[in-house]
Amino acid sequence: MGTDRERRGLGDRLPLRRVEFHILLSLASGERHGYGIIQDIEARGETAVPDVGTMYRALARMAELGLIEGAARRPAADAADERRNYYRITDAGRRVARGEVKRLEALMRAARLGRLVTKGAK
Amino acid sequence: MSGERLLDLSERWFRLLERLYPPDFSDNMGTAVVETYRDRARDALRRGGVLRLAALWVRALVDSVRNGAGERARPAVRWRRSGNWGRDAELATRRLLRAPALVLAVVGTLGVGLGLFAVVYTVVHKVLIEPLPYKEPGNLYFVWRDYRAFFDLGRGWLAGTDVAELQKAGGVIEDAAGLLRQLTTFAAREGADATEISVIVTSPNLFDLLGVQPVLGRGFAKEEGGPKRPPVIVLTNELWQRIGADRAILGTTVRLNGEPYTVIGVLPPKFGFVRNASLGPPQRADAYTTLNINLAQTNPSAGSYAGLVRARRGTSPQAVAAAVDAVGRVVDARDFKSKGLKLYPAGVAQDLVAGVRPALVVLGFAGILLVLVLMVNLASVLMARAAQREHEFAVSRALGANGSAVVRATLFEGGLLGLAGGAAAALAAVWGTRALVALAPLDLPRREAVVVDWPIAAIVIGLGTSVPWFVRSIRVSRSRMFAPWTKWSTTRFAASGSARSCCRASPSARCSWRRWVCSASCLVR
Repeated sequence: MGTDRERRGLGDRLPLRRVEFHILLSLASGERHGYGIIQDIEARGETAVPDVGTMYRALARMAELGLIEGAARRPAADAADERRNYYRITDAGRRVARGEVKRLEALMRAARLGRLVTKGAK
Repeated sequence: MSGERLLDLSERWFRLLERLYPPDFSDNMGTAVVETYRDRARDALRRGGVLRLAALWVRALVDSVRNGAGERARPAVRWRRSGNWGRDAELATRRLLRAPALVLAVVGTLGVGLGLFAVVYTVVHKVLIEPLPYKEPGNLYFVWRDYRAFFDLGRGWLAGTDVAELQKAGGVIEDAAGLLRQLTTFAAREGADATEISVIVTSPNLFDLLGVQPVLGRGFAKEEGGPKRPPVIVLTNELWQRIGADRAILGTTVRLNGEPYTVIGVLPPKFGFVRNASLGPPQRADAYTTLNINLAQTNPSAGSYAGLVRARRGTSPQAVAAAVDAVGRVVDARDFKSKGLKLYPAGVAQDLVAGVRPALVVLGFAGILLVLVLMVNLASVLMARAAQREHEFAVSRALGANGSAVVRATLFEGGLLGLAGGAAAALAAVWGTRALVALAPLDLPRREAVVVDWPIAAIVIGLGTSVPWFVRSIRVSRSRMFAPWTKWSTTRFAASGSARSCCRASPSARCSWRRWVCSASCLVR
């Protein structure tokens, strides 16, 4: 029930902006604070790490859309025990992230068919 | 310069840059943005020293200029895109969601109280005030016989001869019609099941007298009345709907008491004529046909007709009464040997509602009393709410919210609450009126007209919106009268509160110094 509506809802949100997808990827593995998300993005080898302002505007937008939500403000283990705002992914956010992954997989398949993917790439 | 000192300087720089963002964004995200930049600064200092920190400062500047402008041009959150009104709506909604008991109390009070008032207002307005659906209804009069010189009956039917006398009176009496009412069997076609309907048998000029034209076909022609008249019938819209609403009904034959009648017209849906009775409730009709007799040749002592006259435009009721009285004297001299029979007119609307007017006037006053009680109750609830929020207003003012913003937000909340209450009241009015009409006596005049229409619903919603808004505005204006004292007390309160929160946020040796800075900054504002 509601599957068509969900698909239409997903279609409205996709494709995600790069920063939004990165945020969902980070939060998919657990709650993070802002700097934690940036560290995750750097760890993924992204050359252009989003600016802090860009990321927080994306966080505000995604919270309004219900893709993420604020978690309890609490001390961060890696920041000298200072308190931080944490975020967590919602079910809707997880569905949208899966939709984006499927979209990217379809693009990869098309790229493979067009022989645009080099041998090493999976 | 030590690393700690550099981090402090960095934080100040980031806090300065935070001002490039709109205040709403800063309120929600500013602290987190600064904290994240501070973490990045610490990381940059550790990995690359001062040079890398300087690069971060530059990058933060570019980021804040770009995203600050971007956030102002197109806010990330939808409600911020609507400016002050969007913010007020969002904040008011949040505040009201946090106070469900208040919302229930106000919406419930408005919904029930104002809804009941709307029901009363609808009945009083539709029955007593709204003009009848005829052309210039103020010039229409029913005429009655006063038999009190003979026996105790002050409101008797006219004889056909009286109507004929009124028709030829001229002067201020433009025209007159005589009406009978019969209960007959009706069959829409040959062989169809018959039902009983009420038929008004009338002079052919009735629809001209009322100024009403059928929506289908035509009314009666002058030659369609009197002896040997063709049997023609005009249906009410209600009867026409009941038998299938076929537009091809004109010219077809229906049966009244088994006799064939040709349908020549269908009346408009809102046409609701009733024949006022000498005794008892007004009589409704399902169809109209014409008299097949000459009124001037009827028995003058057999009163059985309702007499309806139209006075010329601009004629006063006194002039009409005098003209009818003159006709009465002629009738009395001719048919009753001047024993004292009188004729007198009564305005159609006044005559129709005379029986229920006292009860409806009392009901109207009860409705006004109900609204006054409602306003007092509502004012108490809202005043109590406002008193609870003094603390919140004080904090808002101390944190820099200007007076007009606080006033606007307060009034917006009142308006929003009232709008919800007004909408609930409109719904209650619609359902309440239907229930009242269903339960009302069948002889309630103009019963079919008693419905809540759009203007009444709009008045109810407007009233609902304005009541809490009005109460809030009184509260706000009172607050502004005592503004100097309020400002002094609130800043003192907020200053101490801010100082405490400063200490909680940074429990260090510099607490006392920061407390003084916070207190001073609050007092300066």
